[in-house]
Amino acid sequence: MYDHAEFLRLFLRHETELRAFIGSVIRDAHAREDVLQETALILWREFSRYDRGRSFGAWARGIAARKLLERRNSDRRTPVPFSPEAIKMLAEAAERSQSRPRPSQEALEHCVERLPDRSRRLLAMRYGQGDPPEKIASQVRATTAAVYQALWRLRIRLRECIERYLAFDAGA
Amino acid sequence: MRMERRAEELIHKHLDGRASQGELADLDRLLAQSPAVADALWEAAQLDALLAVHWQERAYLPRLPVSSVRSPSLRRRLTVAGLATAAVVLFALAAWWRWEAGVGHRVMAGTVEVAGVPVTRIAENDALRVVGDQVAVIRLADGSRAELSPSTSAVIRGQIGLAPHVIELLEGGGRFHVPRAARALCIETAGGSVTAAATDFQVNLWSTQGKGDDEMRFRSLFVLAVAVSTGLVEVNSPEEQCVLSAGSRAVFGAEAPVGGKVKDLGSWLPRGDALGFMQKDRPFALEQVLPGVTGAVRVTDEQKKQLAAAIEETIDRREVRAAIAAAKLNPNATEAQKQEGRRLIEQARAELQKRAGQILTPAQKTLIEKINAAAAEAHRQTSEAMQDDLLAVKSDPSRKDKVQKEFQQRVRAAMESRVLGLLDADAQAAFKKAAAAQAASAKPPKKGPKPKK
Repeated sequence: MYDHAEFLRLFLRHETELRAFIGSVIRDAHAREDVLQETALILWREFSRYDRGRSFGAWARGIAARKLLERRNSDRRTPVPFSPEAIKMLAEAAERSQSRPRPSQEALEHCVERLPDRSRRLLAMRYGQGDPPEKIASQVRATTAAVYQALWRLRIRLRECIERYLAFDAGA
Repeated sequence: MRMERRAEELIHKHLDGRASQGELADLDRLLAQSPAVADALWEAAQLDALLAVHWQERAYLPRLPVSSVRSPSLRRRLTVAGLATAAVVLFALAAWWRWEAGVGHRVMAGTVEVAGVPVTRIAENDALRVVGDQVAVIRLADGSRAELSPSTSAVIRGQIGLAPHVIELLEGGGRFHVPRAARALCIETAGGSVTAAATDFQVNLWSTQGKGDDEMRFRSLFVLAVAVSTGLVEVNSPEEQCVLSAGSRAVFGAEAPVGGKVKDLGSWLPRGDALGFMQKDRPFALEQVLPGVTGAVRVTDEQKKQLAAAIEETIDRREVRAAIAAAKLNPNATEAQKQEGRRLIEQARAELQKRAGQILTPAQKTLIEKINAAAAEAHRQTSEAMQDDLLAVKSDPSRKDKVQKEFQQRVRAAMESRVLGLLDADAQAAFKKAAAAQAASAKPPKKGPKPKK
């Protein structure tokens, strides 16, 4: 007898990772959401067959990878840009990362709080409002290339900050 | 080193959605060859997903005024004493804010009454009602947010251990946002319960009382409508248990009273509007005016089976009923939603008529056409005969009920005599049998003597 509450708990715990896995392959927001929903529904339907001895995350990524490969063969409008080998390598990278401390919302919040106002505003426009870099560029009176560069640098800075936070957390 | 830089550049371009086909092909090749590149893309994608979740959740927080930022040169000039004062003030403000946030559930916008008195804070187990025509925004103690529609009644129940926060929705509905840091939220209603964590979703409870008509009869007294914007929610309704994902919506309790498979084909009769009976060029359940008329068609068991399937696949189709229920029961339904409901029912009716036409024999269809003509003629003649009385009702509304009752009785008698004249002996017997069955099923159950105390 499978348990709906357990499914909800496991899915919510792994949802961001699942989004990350799908987002590492396709960048179109609607296509990403479609794949996530299709995956979630399969996970829900097949939950009675889920092997509790296996990681839920790995199982979910396996199904998401299958959906991505199906889409690769069928969707010409928002094509999946990577080959089955590359998708497999990404799934393996996700699996390898399970042995390391996982980046968390708490770590991200800690690092975002330490950013200058201007950087936070840039991230809010990009991730909160979903503004394209061209629109952000016109709002902050910069070139589009400068916005791309700034986002790139910000992501590197945040990644390093999160790594430090997690290392400190693990050592504490 | 050059390769690492190139891989990193490709990863960022890919995540920004600006990599060319050639660059994507390069990244694909690098990914397939190098676990280090796959690790780097995975880490960057994880950060990207975390950032999206972080900023989207912040979008639901109430917008607070942004304090002006002092210039660095001015900041440098602040004295140690000034900093200490600021720290004390900030500490006091933070303590006040924590106290404010920690006690009960706060009304952030709109007007909410408890026991008829407007309140700004709601204690657990208080029965609240949203008054006025503004949406009421309530921040629950754990940071969840409820945007309740006007006229909504609800009770916020106490939390026990790690159990979900429970809002008992008595009437109305609203939008609920549960941030990741908050505990799960359960909306309990008479039409079922909705449980969610880290999501944004809408729940509406509509009463069906007095809303059923020819087009729409309901099995339940309440219809529960759920729409999910982000995350997943679990719905437990008396009929089913399911999980809805982002972007989905569903209506529970809108099923037809007969619903699903017809179990007893022997006693079941299709409704007149499904058979092809009409009034004023629209499908009409003629048996409501002339009980037994559907029996006269003498539908065989095989035809009943086919008609039951046709009804189930057209006008009783779940999505059709859900759209119609939403349009008919939702007090806030827009004109576009109402039109969509009407369009769906017209489409389903047309499909049902077409299928019924293929199921019935030519003789049955001819009989139905003759009965339609006879019924229309009986209606016309009775209207003419009672024209004066019907006109008089307009100037004397107190006679309305009496005249209406007499009109219905005379229409029925006129229809019955005309329709019986069209039927052979077997059809007449079937008509009378169906009329008796209809009368028996319409009778209220007999009341027994009250048990003595």
